[in-house]
Amino acid sequence: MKKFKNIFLLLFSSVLLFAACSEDALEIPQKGVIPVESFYITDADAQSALVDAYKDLSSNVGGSVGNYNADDILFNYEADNMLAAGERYGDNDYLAAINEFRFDADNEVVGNAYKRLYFVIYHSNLVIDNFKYGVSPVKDRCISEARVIRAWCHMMAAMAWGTPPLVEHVLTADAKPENYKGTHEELLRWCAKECEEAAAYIPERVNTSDKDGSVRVTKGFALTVQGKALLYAGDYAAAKIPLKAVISSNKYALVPGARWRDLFHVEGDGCEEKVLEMNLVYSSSLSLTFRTTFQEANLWGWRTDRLVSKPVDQGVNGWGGVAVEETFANEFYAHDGDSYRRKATMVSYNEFITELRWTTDNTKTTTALKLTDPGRGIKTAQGLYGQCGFLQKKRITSTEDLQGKTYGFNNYIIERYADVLLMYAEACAQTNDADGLKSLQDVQSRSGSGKISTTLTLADVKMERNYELWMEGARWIDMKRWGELDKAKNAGKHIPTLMDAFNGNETGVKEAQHRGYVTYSEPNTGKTIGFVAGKHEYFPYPAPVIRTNPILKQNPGWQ
Amino acid sequence: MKKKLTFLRYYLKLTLRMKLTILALCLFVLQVAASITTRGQNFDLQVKNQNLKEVLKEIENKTTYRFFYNDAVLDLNKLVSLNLNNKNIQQVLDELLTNSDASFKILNNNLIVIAPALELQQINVKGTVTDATNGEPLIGVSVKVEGTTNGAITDASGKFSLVVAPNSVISFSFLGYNTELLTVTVETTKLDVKLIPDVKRLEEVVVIGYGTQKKSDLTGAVASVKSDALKNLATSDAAAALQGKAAGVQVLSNSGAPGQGATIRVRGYSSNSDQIGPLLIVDGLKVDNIQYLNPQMIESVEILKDAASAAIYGAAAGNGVVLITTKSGTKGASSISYDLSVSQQRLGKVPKIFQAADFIAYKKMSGYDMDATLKANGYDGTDTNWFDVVFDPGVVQQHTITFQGGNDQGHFFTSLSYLNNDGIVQGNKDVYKRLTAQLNGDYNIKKWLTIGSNNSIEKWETKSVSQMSAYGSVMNSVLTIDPLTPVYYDDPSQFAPSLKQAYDQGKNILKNPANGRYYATSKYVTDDSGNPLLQRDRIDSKNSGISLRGIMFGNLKPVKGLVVTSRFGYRVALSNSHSYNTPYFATSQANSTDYNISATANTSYYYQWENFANYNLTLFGKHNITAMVGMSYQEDISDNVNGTGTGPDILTGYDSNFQYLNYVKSNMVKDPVTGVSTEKTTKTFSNLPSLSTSMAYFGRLIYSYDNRYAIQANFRADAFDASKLSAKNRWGYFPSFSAGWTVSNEKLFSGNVSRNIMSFLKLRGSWGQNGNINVLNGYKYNTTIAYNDSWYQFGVDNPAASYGSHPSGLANPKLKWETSTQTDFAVDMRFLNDRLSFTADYYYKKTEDLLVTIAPTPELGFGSAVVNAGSVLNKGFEFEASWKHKIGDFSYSIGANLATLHNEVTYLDPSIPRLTGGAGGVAGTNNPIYTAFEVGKPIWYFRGYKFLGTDDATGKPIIQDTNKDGTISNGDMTYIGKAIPDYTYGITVNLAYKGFDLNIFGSGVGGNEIFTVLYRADTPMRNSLKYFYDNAWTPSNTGAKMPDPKAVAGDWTFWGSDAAQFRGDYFKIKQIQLGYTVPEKFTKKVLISRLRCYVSLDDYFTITNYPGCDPETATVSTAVDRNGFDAGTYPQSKKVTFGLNITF
Repeated sequence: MKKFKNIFLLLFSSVLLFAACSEDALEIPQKGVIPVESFYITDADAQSALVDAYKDLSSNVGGSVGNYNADDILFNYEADNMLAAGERYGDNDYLAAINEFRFDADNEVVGNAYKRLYFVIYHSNLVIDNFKYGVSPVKDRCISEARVIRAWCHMMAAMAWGTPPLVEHVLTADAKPENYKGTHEELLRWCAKECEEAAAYIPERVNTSDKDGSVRVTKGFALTVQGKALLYAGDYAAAKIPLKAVISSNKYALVPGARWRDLFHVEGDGCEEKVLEMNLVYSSSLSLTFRTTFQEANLWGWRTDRLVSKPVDQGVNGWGGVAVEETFANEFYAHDGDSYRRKATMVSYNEFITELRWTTDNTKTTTALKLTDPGRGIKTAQGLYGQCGFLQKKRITSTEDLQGKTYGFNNYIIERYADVLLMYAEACAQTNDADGLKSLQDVQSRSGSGKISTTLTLADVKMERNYELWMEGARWIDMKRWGELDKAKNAGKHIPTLMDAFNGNETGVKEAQHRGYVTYSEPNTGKTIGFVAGKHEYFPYPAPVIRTNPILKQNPGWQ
Repeated sequence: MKKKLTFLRYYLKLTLRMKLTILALCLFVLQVAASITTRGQNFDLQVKNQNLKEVLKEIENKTTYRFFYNDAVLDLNKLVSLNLNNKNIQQVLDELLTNSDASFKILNNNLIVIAPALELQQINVKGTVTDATNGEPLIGVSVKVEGTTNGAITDASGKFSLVVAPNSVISFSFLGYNTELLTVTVETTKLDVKLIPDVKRLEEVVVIGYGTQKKSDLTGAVASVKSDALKNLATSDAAAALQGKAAGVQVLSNSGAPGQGATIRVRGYSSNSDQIGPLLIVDGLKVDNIQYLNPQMIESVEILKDAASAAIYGAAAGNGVVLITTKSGTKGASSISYDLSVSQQRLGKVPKIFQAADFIAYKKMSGYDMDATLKANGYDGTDTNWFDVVFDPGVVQQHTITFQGGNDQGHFFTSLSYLNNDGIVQGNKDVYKRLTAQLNGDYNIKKWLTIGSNNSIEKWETKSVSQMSAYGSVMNSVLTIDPLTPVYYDDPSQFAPSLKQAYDQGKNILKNPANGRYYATSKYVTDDSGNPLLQRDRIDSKNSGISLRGIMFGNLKPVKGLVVTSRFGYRVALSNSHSYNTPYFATSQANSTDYNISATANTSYYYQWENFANYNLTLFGKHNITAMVGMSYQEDISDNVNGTGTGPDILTGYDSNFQYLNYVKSNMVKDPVTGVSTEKTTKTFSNLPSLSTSMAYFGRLIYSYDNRYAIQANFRADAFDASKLSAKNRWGYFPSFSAGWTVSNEKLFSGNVSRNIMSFLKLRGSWGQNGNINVLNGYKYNTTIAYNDSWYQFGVDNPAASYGSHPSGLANPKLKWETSTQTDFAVDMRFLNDRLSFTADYYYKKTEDLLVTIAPTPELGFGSAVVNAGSVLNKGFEFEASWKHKIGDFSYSIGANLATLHNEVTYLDPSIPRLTGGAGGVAGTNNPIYTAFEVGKPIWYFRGYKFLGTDDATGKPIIQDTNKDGTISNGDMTYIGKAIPDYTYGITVNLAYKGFDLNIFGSGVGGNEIFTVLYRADTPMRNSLKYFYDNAWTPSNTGAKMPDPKAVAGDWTFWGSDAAQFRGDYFKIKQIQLGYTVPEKFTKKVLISRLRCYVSLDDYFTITNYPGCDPETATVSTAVDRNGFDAGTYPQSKKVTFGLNITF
């Protein structure tokens, strides 16, 4: 009996011990995804893949993932018409390092700008690689829009880095892309050709009131990129053709001068002058973080902690990260006077005090009262570092832009019609073609400056581009194209600070009225700064990219 | 005869003590034989005036008797006369030695010893041996006369009886107790001995995972902490209780806040990931934390440190295993006990930051026109000590009542414990309340079956204040807000401008509900968190929950030596959190125009089923084999629902009884420009249940020979579910081997080395592999389509989104877990009859295949990809030593442990020079400092600028131009320090005299650095460490360590350099506890068998040069790549505790 019990217990023990569960228990399906094989098939899939490419363009180029919008900084902060500013030297230094030419290949802004353009290229290639022409009109259009986005990204990369890799397909995980084999100009021509081919499949904007036609790739945008790439390649005669086609399409128009300011605010979203901008509409049901951030709105705003209070025209408190360069400001003022354009781009300190809206406006109703009002203007004797007698206004986030939130909802402009007109005027001027004069005059007359050219000269076009497109990513490329980069050789050497005599004038006496004056400092003494020929024509390939992919050849001066 | 004399001469040279020993030896060896010798030789003896020597010779001639005697003792020339007929030897010698000091003894083989009477006397010693701690009789104690085979064993009532020679040394030895040595004198008749249990005793049993093992048989590195070391601690967290208790076990407290659990690191930092905590097992149940465990309920904690010990847990054990055994009832002694501790806690170490006068002076030195600024702000001389404002003493109470009992059939233990910890931040916003019950029982249902169950029930509730972040954190704010700002404003006219503006715009300016005054915000630091009290009060949040954890087991014993265990373990956790905050305005950075309300409900349950068999076989007495095989299946399920409402007007009412999601309302607002109405109340909800499973097979074989040699092999095969690895790669195999040699059990050793010099010597070594599976989750190896994951709006006036889909990532089907390979060599020694013990371990642990997130070349389209491309080496020495002694009623012990750690990254994907983490310490500081993970350096070291000193002439900082390019830029950042200590140590001293006991316990670390990120070059008006002022260069103090404040006020390079880094070494006296146990004779009258009361200073003294707050909590962060940054952490409080331990 005992023996029997032992056997039973042993058997029972064995059962317990080898009661292994089936491996099926380990098969847990992933949630919220579908297999790769079941996607990239239908027209709906093509549209979905294209939406993803727009999202990527919107977040990587028109957005501000992290602390800064890399694209915006890269193509603006080496221009001679602006200064990186802030609370004082060292504040917003990642911007100032670029502005004053004292950054290296590890600079994060440079790294991010490169990375993000190629991310957009990858997402475009997903559409281009996974679908074929000739299957359905929907697919044809999706492929073509993606090709234009991809071409635009390559064009911008080419301007920044010269001959960066041309990525025509989704790469395998072990790929090590190399520099574009041809010349810089050939790469730009490739971009133009892509747009030309793709344009055939993409609808035109319906008309100048077609707002939605300005927030996705249209035939007009494709032709604009084609023209721009050719212009950048120096092929002016070829550039004129697509640019002229855009102008002749009559799908675009300049806004009246009175609405020039609106171009950069939510009121101007999708207006007649917009060729392509990245759209963003507030929705409580969407997570908006990828597009626009609190930091972005703060960066461009006036330095609020140095002001008695925040001017009503500024939606959020600012860190004062951007300033107008003083020589440029004076020339611009001399040229434009009190034009719509000048007043919406920059304001004098006197205008800042007397023409902007302040919280004390209800009691300080006259200019004289405003000038003696302690409730406005610069608060402390430290002044506004980096600012001269004119304060930038173009990039201020307005209360309306905020839509009740703490960041801006104005669309991010990639291309506007004034640039198209000025590019056409330049291409004509370069080829002695008087046809461009009207384009130049259109921009001039709309600006409200009162200056109208009677003959088409390259000098007038250059001037007009500088004033019209300040802080719109044009100036540094223009300087490079025109061989004028050495205008930035003194960058960072002589930094102004805007003071208010109300807090103490040049001799320390506090004056009865607000009056701006400028003092200067040389905070970079002892440092190597300013444009260096043979180096700063192009940005360095980001050091992390070179380390990952040693095949990529670094640009001259950056090795 | 010549031979005899030689022996005698030799005997004479010996010392008295040794003589006695030899004599006793002879006596007893020979006495046994004598009893079987026939005695009965009667003879005649007639002598007259013959000397004694001759008489003895004559007897030898007449009989077969032979004499042993000592000439010095016996007067051999004494003349005697005798006339005896037919007498036996006894009678003859009695006559012969009359009137002499000598006596005689007849041994076997008819040998007769003649010696002084005293030496030949026999004493009958009787006595009882009891347990010194509870007075219970000890059965089977070995009572032996030292140096002889004479001995006895105590009987069922602990009694023994022994016949010994005077001045003999008797040893009392018993398994698990200290051996007592006592000398017996002539007067001794009764010998009652109390044996003291030995916690570090050779035969101690340790838990090793799916079984136990005698400590003497251990071949791996297992640290064992027993209940004695865990009782009466101020902490309520089992993890924190381990601090300083075992070498190589580092306990990290990232915060002193109530309810913040500590984390454990075993033998260094093996991964770039945060997943480097040990596997935690309580009574066989895998748990996610041990914070719920009251240290009082723990019987023992075993930490499996080396790979060989941990290998039985395979892929989950790469970072060590902590095995906790909770108490079970004591056999035979039912008892009720109550433990009380009440602590008053207050802020411990106060950081050296600025008060007003120094603050103003420093800012002036920094080049700011403070006179103008102060005037402009209407400064009235306010000098706020924000630490005084924010902190005030709090009270911690803990009550534990325990019932326990047991007999041969089973044990029972149940305990109920209540904790209420009101933290040191003023008010009741930092509170931890916990009610726990422990229910343990087992019963021998049949001879062949034992069943049992251990269960713990926990109900908890926490409220906490924010810390370790740059904005909106109470702890950051208290350190960085200037002393010039008052705590409150009474009138809006006093407001800072931005606050006034917000007030004028009708924004919500918060008041302290207690006194109706406005929280002041600084006029100097205008873009930070504002007032720490405002940060404390603007959010109402509460977390609470109930957790059940337990096991049920059955032990089947079908045949002798075999135990088959089936064990089912479960965990159920239910928790809820609620948060509500109103719109407020403090500064441009700290404000909100929205109300926010959220609620989260979490449910998780876990179960494991494990079946394993242990078989123990002893062959031919000396060969011992223990084999174990088993399997395990685990399933972890969690489900949570979260809902939030955000917007400017979200609730149907705002009184406290409306502050629930049910009262969230819609709020359509028409845009005055576009005329379009939009919903302003954002509602979100989320839910994603998760399931993970795993299974394993494992086995162990131990062979030992003659208590001298032991070898052990472990093996485990683990498989994990599809979220971690593909079906092809899911199985992993983890082997380990270890061996031990107990040298002191070798005859050559024991025959030549006295126990009084070296009582134990053992050498051990091990090798094994473990994994770390925690780094793998979320189907990282697989690529799918993230369906409708992105969106774009194609309508300018229409917020409707179109959705897009894209590949989820760059697939890496080859992914595998991190694997650690560890080798361990150790020596265990005990000296002076076990009074001094010493253990030294050396380990070498290499962890490979770290999951590294690399940035693939951007043209591939992804910012990151995960690959197995990193290795980390941890190696070091661990020493543990203890000394125990008793002098009369005074007993004392000293224990110390020390562990060194060398941590180094040995491999990283060649495409990346280093991984970067922890930028600026915490998000938003803009400090260029970051942590990096790089070959040749410790993991996550501080990478910043190297501060070489101050230029005596100019007062400017000199920063190292590391890359020698003539300018100071990003490229000059380099290794400046690390957060990982080079060594950690703990010291425990226990003293006891009569009823008094004094325990002192301290622990410390050294060789680590702390980087302070409090000062900000972009907002220099913050408060910061006074150190930079005290050591500042001035024209009159040109030899200063630190630069001219003006030169660095806005210089990020300087503030991102090691000038802002300090040594993090500290030694904390964690506890000084003085206890008194009232004598039993008094307490017995009120039915109390034991009453101890104590007072204690806990975490009271910190010895450090760190100028900031608490170096311990500052050293640790929530993420491994942010360790060592001090951005304001909740410091550990110092406590004065009163406690009572009562047993009925």
